[in-house]
Amino acid sequence: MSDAERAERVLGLLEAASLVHDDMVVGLSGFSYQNPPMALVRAIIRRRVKGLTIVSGPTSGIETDLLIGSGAVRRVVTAGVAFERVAAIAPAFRLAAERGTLEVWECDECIWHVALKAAAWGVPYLLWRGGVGSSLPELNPDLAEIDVEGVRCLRVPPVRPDIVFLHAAEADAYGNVRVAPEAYLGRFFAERSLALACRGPVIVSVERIVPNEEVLESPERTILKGALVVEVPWGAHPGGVSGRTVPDLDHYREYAAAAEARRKGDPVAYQRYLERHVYGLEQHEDYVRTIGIERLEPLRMAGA
Amino acid sequence: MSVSGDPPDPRLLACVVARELRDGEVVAFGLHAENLLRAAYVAQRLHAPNLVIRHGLRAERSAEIGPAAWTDDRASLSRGRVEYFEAHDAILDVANPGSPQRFCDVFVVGGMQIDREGSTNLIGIKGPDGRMAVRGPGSIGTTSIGTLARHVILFSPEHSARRFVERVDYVSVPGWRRRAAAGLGGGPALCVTSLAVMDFEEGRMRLRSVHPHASVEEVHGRTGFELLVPPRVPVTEPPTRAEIEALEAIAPPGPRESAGEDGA
Amino acid sequence: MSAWTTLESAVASIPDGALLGLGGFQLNRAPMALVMEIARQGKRRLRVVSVPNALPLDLLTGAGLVAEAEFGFLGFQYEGGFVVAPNVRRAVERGTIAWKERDVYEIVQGLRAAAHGLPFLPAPGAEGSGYARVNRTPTVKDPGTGEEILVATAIRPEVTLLHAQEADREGNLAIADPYADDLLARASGRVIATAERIVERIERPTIPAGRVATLTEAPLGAFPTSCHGHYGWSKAHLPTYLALASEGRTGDYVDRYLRAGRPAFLAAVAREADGPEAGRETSGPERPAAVDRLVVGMARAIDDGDVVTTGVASALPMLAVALAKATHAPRAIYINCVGAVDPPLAAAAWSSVDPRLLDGCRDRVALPELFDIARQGRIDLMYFGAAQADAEGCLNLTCIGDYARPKVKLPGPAGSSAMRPFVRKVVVLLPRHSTKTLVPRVDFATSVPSRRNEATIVVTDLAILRLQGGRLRLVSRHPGIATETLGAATGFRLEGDLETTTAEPTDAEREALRRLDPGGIRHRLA
Repeated sequence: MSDAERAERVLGLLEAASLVHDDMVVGLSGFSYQNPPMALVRAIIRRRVKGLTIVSGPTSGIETDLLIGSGAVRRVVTAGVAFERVAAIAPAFRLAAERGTLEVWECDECIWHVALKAAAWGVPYLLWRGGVGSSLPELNPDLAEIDVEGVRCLRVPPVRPDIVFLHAAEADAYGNVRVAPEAYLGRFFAERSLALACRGPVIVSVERIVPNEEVLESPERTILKGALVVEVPWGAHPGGVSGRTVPDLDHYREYAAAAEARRKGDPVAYQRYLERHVYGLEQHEDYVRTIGIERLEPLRMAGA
Repeated sequence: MSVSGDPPDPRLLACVVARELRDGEVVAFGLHAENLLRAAYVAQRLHAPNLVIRHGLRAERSAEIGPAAWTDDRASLSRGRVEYFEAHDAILDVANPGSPQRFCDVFVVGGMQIDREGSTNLIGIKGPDGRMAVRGPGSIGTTSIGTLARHVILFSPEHSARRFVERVDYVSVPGWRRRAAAGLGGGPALCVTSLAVMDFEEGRMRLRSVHPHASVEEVHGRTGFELLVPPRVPVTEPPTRAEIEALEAIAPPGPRESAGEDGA
Repeated sequence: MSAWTTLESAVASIPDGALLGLGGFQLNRAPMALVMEIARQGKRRLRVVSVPNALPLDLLTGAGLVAEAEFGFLGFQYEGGFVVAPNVRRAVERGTIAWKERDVYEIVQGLRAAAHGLPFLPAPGAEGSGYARVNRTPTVKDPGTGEEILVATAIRPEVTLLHAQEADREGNLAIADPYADDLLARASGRVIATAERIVERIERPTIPAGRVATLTEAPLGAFPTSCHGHYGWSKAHLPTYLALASEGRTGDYVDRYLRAGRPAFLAAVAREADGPEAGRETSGPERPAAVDRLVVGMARAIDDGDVVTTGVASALPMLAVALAKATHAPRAIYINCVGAVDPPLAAAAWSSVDPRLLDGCRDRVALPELFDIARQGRIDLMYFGAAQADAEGCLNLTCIGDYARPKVKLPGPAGSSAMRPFVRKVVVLLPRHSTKTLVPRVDFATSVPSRRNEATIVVTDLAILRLQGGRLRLVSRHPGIATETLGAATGFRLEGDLETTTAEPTDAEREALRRLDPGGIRHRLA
């Protein structure tokens, strides 16, 4: 099939967000402060969906916390939710878990990966030796501790997202997603793991769409194919984009302070944050204007 | 003597951990553990040139300059000595005991709580009613790696009775007694804190050395359980000339993030 | 970091009786230099496991060095046709080695279990196949559901032998056509590798240096199998080997070619190594009209947009896919088992496992992932071969006669018994419709129908059949084939639609076939 015959796979942001419905299992990819699909998350929150199960990782941060704080989430499947040193415990996550309005599928990063693999491999369960002797089986009824030929293991069931969202540096119109040439902490994290486990579409927001020829010139940078693509510059903000932008830590601190205040009983700052950055905006361009390009541009990495 | 227990010499903890890292090993720890990264670089420069640092998906064999903060656009000059895991699920390698490419030999890890047998807790703290009152961040990568790695070094930048408890409320990484109960054997080798270095005897934490600025009484007072104390407790050796030079050589120029809690 | 060493030292380190894993796939990139050195050194009582890659196993077996072998497919397609590895076949038929045949999926899951430090992993799906019974495949009660499901016990080779296109000084390997080598490496105690050549630095190794224990530079290290990007299958040497092996004269082969060492071997065969362009012909009797109907019949089973896959020894089905995409199903997605998604299928080839299919393909999957994709219900159609098909739709690729000491050892399941239960449309190619191929009951049920299948179709040179109500029934007779002829050629009572004639290839289909296969290679493949 020639390029011309291949279907283009570009969506608008609102169109992508409209694929999420109540009670869906939504996969989100992110690592540390890198690549949270924030523009997509904000668009999903604006739709006021409820009862989501968020499968985020390998580490979860502000994308998960904001969804929880906005009331969209019933359950998280994640190894932990934190903003590194800005907040050792993500505040909206902490509040909802302590109140009992959020179910936590307790696990660690390895078990999280094994559960996605069980889905990708189409098997009824997988076994894993880590977690034995910990509180995970006690807290998570899906993880049964069993004895397998004298070896104690956990039985890990499949976790299968209905839809997956991630953010990356670039993609072409045919759904070939790629990373920047320099990627300090790593090239792929859980993008492929989530995509292989997903029973539905994989949607990637990217800083920019590039021509197919560019992708073909450096194929080693392609991490995923066949994705649906949404062009959203600054679509990970306040997260950084690996090899392209650094995170806006002041914004993280502002969000964390508001969420922490809400946790302690004063919801005003958090409500204001949601109004200003989520509900009060219709388009991602409005968000960019609200943050201000003079604040965003300095986040670009040199040479990126 | 500071109230929080922070060491007057911030370089001491990096040196103490560096001394425990062996040449040819692979050491892993959480992201943004700058002090541990510092410790690993010092070890590489001084006595462990073939130490491999597992940081994110990177495996670094040596560095020409200090820890390039990942938020920085400074690329590490050690590019020639860095390998990457292909994807994050490569951490599942930690379970392959026969593999010559192990994820790590030694894992440096902490927690909201650490107990007498060396269990850690990142899950939560119980309230008076026995239910979870404080939700912790979650075990992140610690449970499986802490269980399946060959050696575990516990690390805490502060030492208080609130953190060092008789029994953790929830277990992220099982210590000696829980490992035995799970049929695993072994346990954490060491615990390094802002006040002291501890090891384990028959699965119970024991004082090995006290840092120069602290005292045995202070360590006692700040530990929430009965710590085993041998008859003679040496003073932790302060940073040596060579260690100080190594630290200065790797120190990154420019402002860093505000000093917060280091360690996983 | 790996140690650079000689072939001799590398192989000397392999103990007698070792469990050996072999890298490569179907006459592609087999670690032949290492295996030949093993034969020269006379390592004994070896136990060998591989994903389908029968040539090195055949050499070791013929040299009398194998005590136990585990395999999923013993056949390979080469210029001269299709052959079941002669030494292994003889050893199985005579009972001179201990052996176990299992679906490749079970081997994959066994390797995955070893890679995760586990005693086994679940491998359910092929419960109805005869293998579960003859291998006494263990089942374990799933603690979650209480169901007994088949499991694959961990396979942990002590040593895996690999040949890579490139290695760097550190010992990182770059492999252009990985197949299942990464999984083998992760499941093994150590990897002994050869590399076609050394390069400066490999940024993204296929197999990192940390896994490679010893490394040797060995040009032509895969010869006479292919080494993608360097050389194809050896037109001359494969038949040379096969001629001796078929006659039980592997000892002569070893003496003549291997005894004098590697440099002498290379000198003797250097002329025989063909360039990358070689290997595009085959030979065999021609039945043009019949073959075209087979290809067209298979092509028509594809609906536009289907995800279609083929396994080993599937050159005609691959041509059928190309035909379908060129005519009524341009949006069909084809996954070839070398790991190529939508390879360019411009011209027909006699091999469906040519690594050149990886060049210019749209995407790649690893060989083990094919099974996962099927198990997720993502394969709409797969083509299967068979030596026998029976009235109930069971297929036999295993043996004629008794499994333990067969009269005729057939090539084996490859991945068919594990894939078939999960594929939506099962299309079986039976090139010669006769009472020997369409039998009342197969000698061995390699694969069986599953309720997950939506359709099971059998395409023969005389008719199209379909599984309906648990029985194969006639859908259409090919033009010119009388009902009586059909009846006499079928080993069971064939009922169904006696009236409908299969539509002949249309002009568009003929034209497309002419374009796709101008040389008529397809006519020599059945």
